[in-house]
Amino acid sequence: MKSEIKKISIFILLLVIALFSGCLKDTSSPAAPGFDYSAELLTYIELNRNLNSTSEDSYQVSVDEVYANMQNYLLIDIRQYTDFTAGHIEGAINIIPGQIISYMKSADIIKFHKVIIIGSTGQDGAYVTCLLRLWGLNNVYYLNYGMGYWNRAFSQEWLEGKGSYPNRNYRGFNYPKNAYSSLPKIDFNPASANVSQRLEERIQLLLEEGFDNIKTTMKETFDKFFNYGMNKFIDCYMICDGPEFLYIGASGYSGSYGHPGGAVLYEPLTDYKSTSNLQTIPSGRPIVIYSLNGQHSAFIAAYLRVLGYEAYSINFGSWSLWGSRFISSVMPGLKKRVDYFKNQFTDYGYWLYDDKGIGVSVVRDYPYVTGE
Amino acid sequence: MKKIINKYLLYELVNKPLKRLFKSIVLVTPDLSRVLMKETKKEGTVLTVSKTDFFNTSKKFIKYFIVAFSFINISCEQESLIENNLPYEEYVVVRAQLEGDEVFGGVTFTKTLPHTQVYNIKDAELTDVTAYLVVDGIRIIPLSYTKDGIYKPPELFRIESGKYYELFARWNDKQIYAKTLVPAEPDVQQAYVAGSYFTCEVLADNKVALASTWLIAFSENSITAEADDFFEVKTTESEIPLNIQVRTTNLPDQYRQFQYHDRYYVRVYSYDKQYKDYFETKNGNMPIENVFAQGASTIKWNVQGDKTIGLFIGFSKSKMIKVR
Repeated sequence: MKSEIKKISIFILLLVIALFSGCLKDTSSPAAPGFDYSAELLTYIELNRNLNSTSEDSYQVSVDEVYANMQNYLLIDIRQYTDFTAGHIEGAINIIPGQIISYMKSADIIKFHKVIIIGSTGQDGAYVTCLLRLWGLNNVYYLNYGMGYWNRAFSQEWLEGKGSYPNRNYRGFNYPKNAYSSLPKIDFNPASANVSQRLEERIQLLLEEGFDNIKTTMKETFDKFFNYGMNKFIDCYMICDGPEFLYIGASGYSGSYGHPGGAVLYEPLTDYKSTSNLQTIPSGRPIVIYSLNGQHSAFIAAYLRVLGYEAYSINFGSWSLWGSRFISSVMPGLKKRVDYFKNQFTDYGYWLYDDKGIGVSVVRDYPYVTGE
Repeated sequence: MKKIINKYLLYELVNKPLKRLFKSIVLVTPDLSRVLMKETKKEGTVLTVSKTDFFNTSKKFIKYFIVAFSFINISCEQESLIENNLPYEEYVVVRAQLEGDEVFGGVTFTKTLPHTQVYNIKDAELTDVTAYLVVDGIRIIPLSYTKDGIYKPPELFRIESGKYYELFARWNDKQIYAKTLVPAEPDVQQAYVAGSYFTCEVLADNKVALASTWLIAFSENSITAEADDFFEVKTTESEIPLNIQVRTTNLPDQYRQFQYHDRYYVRVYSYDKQYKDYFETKNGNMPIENVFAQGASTIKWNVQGDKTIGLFIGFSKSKMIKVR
């Protein structure tokens, strides 16, 4: 009798197990981890923002173009109020960087073919232009060389920016790019906002901080970060924002200067893409970028800042390093030495670097107005 | 009188129920019931059926009944096929094969469709997935929609063997994740004929799963035929590389002739170890044709996420290896 009960119990138990296991739903796969903020931001920017040009010049306009289209372009002068009232392009409106986004949201900008950001040297304009493009404005450009190119009355900053930094710590050695490393971690507030809101929050913050916070000089960079024992930058990552002849350095009377010890060559724009070398830029130390004239490096510094890098731009670029000595027969695009300033500014030929010819490289004397 | 009573009883007990049955059959198979009705002789309200007639009729009836029953059963089966009571759940389907040292072909995101809907990639593809790859836990590679549910990096992107690739994706608040290793090119020691198939000896550790195919070829650029599936996928538990033997499927008869003997090659595939689970369960969704066979298991996918299935797998393949 007992054994029968035992058999029945086992049978019932097995039956119950079979029934229950039969009723179990298929186990779904484990929960997938969520997105990383920095990765999501980079993905959003690369796929949704128009920074695909292979030439940084694509985001600038010449003073000649602006002069010919003053009625069709929205001219936004981002200089300080006192500078603006001292002289500005007729029709330009003065908006400081921190207020641009709120202005853009309320302004009817569709009727304008282009939005032109006017700074004092073009570097400040490039910085703001990059941020606005990342915000989503595709028809925004900066005035090449800024007001310093519109009229010689505003060229003083450029003239003072010219330098001849000692070449004793420059090298001809090609320093390799860093190994790939993680993107910088960015803290957002509020964390729950979607990626486009987080991007806007970040851009607004960087506009408020302004270009003055990210511009630096080569001397300052050497003083802060150069390791004289190892004869190269250790505590910062120095980027030479190509082209290659800039990395080779100025060929002056004493030959090629090369580049600061430790500086690494990056091809303009292409090397900053995720599929190429963006993440060879280390996130744990300051990034200092120099370019031909400081405008491109300001543009790239803005981009890297949005991604969370502590990026700086060498003000006036190689103009501040070698000045007129950069001009040589080996330099691509050189047509002939400058003639416009030759009586006033000796060897003011640096602006001739670009291969579009002398016509776009000479400071104009276009009219300006004063007051508000 | 006895005869009348018998007839009456016959009518009440047999013919009356039969008549009812015929009437019900009329509803299902009218033609057949008409034939059956002809077999009975009606006389007024009482049917007059002789004993022989009765047995003949009964025999015929049984035959007809079997035929009718078969028809009814078959038609019932067909009914159940047409009836759409199967539950439908939408699943996201993820597919990607990452081949070492080759340009990445992209990840495909689609969704399952109801079985009543004709499959069309335009209906199945997902066009609004946010996705990116992470290489070795560091590099972020965004993926953007191209066409037919395929997502690729904005620029050409080469997969590197020996690295781990993770897929992060989001669609309609649904998080999707997968991780795979792209193994190095398999280290093939030798390959030889073993009866009707080829066997390869490959040096491998416990991170990879190995498989091989036979090839008939004049050279690397002139391949006549290649096996379209693997016979087996093998792994080892050893952390130190060991020699593993992995065989191909049987060589088709037409290639066993003498003139092909000097054109025998193999190619060895080295997969992420997860591939073995998939390979061994990939037929799990097939109908069970053998009634005595055990029920098939669920396919083991390696993509994680709620109502998400798919395979995101890395592999590398060897060059063609001449068979001894």
